[in-house]
Amino acid sequence: MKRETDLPPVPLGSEGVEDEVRRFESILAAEYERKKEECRLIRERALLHLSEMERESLRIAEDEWTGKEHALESTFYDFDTGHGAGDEETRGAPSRGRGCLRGRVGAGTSRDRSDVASAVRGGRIMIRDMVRLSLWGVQSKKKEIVRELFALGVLHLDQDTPSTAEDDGTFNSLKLLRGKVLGLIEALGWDGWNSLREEDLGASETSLLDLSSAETVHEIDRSLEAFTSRLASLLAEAKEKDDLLDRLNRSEEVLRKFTPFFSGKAPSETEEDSLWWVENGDAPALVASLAAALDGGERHEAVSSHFVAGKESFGLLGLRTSLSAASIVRRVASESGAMPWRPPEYRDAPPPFGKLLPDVQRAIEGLSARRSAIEEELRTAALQWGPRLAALYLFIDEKTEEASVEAQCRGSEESFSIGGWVPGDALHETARRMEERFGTDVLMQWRLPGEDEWKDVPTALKNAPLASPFELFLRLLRPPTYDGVDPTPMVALFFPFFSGCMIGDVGYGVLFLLLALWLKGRKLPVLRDVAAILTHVALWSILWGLAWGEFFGDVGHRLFHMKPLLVERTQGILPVMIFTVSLGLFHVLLGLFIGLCQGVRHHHRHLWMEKAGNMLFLIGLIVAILFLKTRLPKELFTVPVSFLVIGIALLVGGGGIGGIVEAFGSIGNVISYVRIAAIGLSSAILAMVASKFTDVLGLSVLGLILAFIIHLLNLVIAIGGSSLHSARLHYVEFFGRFYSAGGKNYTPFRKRSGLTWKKR
Amino acid sequence: MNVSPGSSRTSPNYEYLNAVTRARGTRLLSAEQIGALARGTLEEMELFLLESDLYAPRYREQLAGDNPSLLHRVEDALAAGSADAITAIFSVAEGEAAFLLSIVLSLGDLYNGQALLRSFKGRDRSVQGPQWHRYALLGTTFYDELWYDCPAPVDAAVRCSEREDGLAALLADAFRHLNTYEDSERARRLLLTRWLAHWGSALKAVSGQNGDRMREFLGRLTDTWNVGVWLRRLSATEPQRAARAFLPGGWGLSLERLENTSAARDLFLASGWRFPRGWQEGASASEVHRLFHRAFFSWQEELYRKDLLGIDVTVGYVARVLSEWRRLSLIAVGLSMGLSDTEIERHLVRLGGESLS
Amino acid sequence: MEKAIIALAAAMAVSIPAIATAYAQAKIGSAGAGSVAEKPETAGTIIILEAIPETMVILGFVVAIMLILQFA
Repeated sequence: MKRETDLPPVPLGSEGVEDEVRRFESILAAEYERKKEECRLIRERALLHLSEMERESLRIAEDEWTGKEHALESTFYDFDTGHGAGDEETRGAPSRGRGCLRGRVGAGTSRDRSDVASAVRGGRIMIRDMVRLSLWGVQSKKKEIVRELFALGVLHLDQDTPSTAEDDGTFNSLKLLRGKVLGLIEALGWDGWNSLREEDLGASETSLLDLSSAETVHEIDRSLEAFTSRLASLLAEAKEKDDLLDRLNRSEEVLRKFTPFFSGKAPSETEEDSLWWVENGDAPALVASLAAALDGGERHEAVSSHFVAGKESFGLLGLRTSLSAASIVRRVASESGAMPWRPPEYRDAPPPFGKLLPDVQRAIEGLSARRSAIEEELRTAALQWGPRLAALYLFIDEKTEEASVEAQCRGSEESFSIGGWVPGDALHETARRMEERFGTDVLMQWRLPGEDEWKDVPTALKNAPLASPFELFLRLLRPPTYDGVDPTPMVALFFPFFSGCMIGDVGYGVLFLLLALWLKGRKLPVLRDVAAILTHVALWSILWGLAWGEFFGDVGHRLFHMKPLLVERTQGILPVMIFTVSLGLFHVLLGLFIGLCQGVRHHHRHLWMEKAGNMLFLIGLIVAILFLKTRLPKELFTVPVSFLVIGIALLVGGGGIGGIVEAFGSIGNVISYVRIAAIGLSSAILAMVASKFTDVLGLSVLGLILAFIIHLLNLVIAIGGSSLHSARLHYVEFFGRFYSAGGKNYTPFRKRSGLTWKKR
Repeated sequence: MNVSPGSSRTSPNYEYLNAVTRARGTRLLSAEQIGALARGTLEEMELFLLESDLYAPRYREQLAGDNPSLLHRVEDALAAGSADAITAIFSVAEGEAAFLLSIVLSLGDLYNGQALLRSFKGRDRSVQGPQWHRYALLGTTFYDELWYDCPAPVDAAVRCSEREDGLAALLADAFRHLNTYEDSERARRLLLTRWLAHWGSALKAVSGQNGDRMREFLGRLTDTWNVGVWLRRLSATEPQRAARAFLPGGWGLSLERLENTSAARDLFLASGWRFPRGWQEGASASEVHRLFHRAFFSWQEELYRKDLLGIDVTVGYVARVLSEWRRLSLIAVGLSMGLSDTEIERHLVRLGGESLS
Repeated sequence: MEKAIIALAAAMAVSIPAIATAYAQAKIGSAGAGSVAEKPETAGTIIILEAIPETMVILGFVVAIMLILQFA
């Protein structure tokens, strides 16, 4: 921010203070008027640019404007000694604050609002118009303003705004606290997010709402301390016990194997038992050398041994020797690489192994009991603390979101600014609410995005109620770019049309209609969308069923002599195929046409040349085939040929060799629509097969059951296959011609509610 | 963990595995992100971890625990997070893919084992142990036990024998060897030899390109060890030299070449390895060794973009995750020591792979 | 006899591309499942990739129908 420094300094302590002040007042008043005029001019210029959508100059103008305002404001503060400098706006400013900002607010808002009402009706195709909203507010009301925006939930912030340093302290500690609380929830193993209710959350929120962020963090952190350390020690103990239990279990296994050997005959006072890990092959040699060592001396003692081979290279050797020979045993054993085995907790002085087993088993029992006690304690803690921590987490999460927005605000000591995207239709309400709540403490300004900004504008789809369920198909893709085309209405028209053509059975159509009606009552929004789509499909199926003359296959024909309005699919394969291919031709050409329009609209030369070339190429090709197949006058054959030539020229101009390849790809795409005939044919034949069963087996129970089963199977295939292939025709053949999936989803920052609890 | 080529009755799922791996690979940090971390502070790194895909759950776990040291929290979260990334991929692999990947993972067992073998002399076992390679097949708890509960090599050997597992048996052997001869270098060499033999023979059952790739992996690992031996022989006397034999089965450096080469530069050029930075005149012995280690890892990292329907992608991914772990750990330590960003960057550039010696 | 050969030819015209398509789709589908599991936003691309080999069968079907209608 620039500060005006060209004013003369106040000569303190001079004789004519009154005069000085008066002189100053007049200078200031003049200066203020000058600045005000300057601001007004800049502002006018900005509004002018606004309509021209020159973003860069607008931004400069905006900055300049705020800069001037601030400079002016601070000038007035510096010199405001209570003598009432300037006009009425700043009089008494120190107590009420920020005069200059206030002064501009009312006028700006009301004027812009009327502008926007007319300006916002832009040329988007099924995509909500967005306006760039810039908001200035006084620093002291920052929290409330951000909270209000949060509650409104329409502002989509730019993600890349760097956060300012001043707020980072609280913001970061909030983030850490959020991580800690979530970590505690995870450590507890609590996962009842779906069982949380709005009421539970409200309680924790109201109790904490008054605390400012810094205090909140401190308070919460302190209250969690005891719980954290208790949980950590519990978890550590559980892990420790688990490890020990594991090892004791292994010891028990070992001791069990040696129980017959050690406790078959109790050791006498002078005997000692020992267990050694020995390499599997070495055991006999060790026993032999031990016997030799003991024999070689003056003693003649017996060595009793027992060897259990292990799965890997080592096995366990049990030895019973006299107490006096213990040192010899140790020496011989270690010389041959054997290692002594002792159960855990008895490492230093193991009691006789024969008596050890009950001890170990008792230890295991004790440990298991303690382990399940810990488990129980953890479970209770999870039940008791889980929901509370979750509520706390959601609360902190919300605070963090707010803080992150606050941190994204740019500003000075006095004021802050924040910018983002708001749907044009929500702007009026936003402006009204902000004005009502904060009056002259906020200043809002909006404009339409410039052409070079389109890539940054988020996309929100906007479709008529009849078509909006079909937005489901676009959820699998990235949204279209802001300047792109939302193909949902086309999908709403063609998807059920194709599907219905494939199913083409009045009976099936009616069943699907019933299914759709049943689905309509479901709670889940997705299911309701599916129900709407299914209704469309069912209606088209009925229509196509009339065209093909099918009612549960040929049942209609048999019972009520139903006749096809167009052609019977199983008889006229070729006409149906030709029909579907022409349908495909139309659909692909439509896609190309949309692409062409896009190219022309955005002055994208390569794009429109390629699309136009592609269209001409396809049309030329088809007309040429028509000339060859029918008896059209040969003199006119030059027409399709010239189409082809121009088409290829455009293709090469638009996309080079790639353009040619693309053109051949679109021939394949057109042929791909044969699948509508193919799948329809198989569906019709399968339905007929069902009826055949009643022919062969008569109207018997078995015949009817078999017919029913085949129809059921066909029904499943019909809905699955037709929707899948119809969708595929849209995704690959149709969207491929024009869809540019580079948009950003419109994600305003708002409170999470309802079923949308998310952990992160 | 018993993964053997015998378990390849289920067919390998390279397509699925590699798709998952490549999708997860996009979560790895870019050089710019790492550079930015190096220029920041440890507190910033903490916040970064809390918001990263790979390390956030582990860092939250650290926050929920009562670990008071920021550096330890960061280091633990890094080690655990990177191990999670690797084991997640491993758990997806099936059949041959799982077997081949287990070789890469058991490299962690080898590193852990070597660290333990080195540690019996003059290390206080009650304090926290080294940062384990947590993705290792035998598990971190096992290595913690070996560290805290086994004051002498013989205890460790017994503990490993109890485990009744092929890899643990290799460790048991090495500890027993250390117990008998009290020579940690020989014990480490024994461990490596047995480890290479163990996987080498298991690999015989796998033919084809993927098997060849893993044989190359073992061969290159052998090369790096042999370079270490070669460098130590340079400064050794004749009898010592005889004791330090090369391991057979290297990939680029045959025994003959190792015996007959006397200049580090020749060894370097004759190895057939590709080095990311090429030969530097006047490189010291440790630098030459480090060059090979770095080349071993950069070779693995490059595999990430090689055969998309084979084991290459996952080997490359594991190497990339490990490299990221090493870099971030280095940055964390550097920041906690108050090193300047240029100093840290210098270390990052010099950073080689974990050395086997 | 001739009809049998035509029928066989038509069957082969469909079945061979069907096998080829199945092979390709199995691989692509497996990889696709992997990437969609990790990155749901790739679903659109995967659908397109998965659909590409399908054209083979459609062309096979057209050829088969042509064979039957022309010769049988």
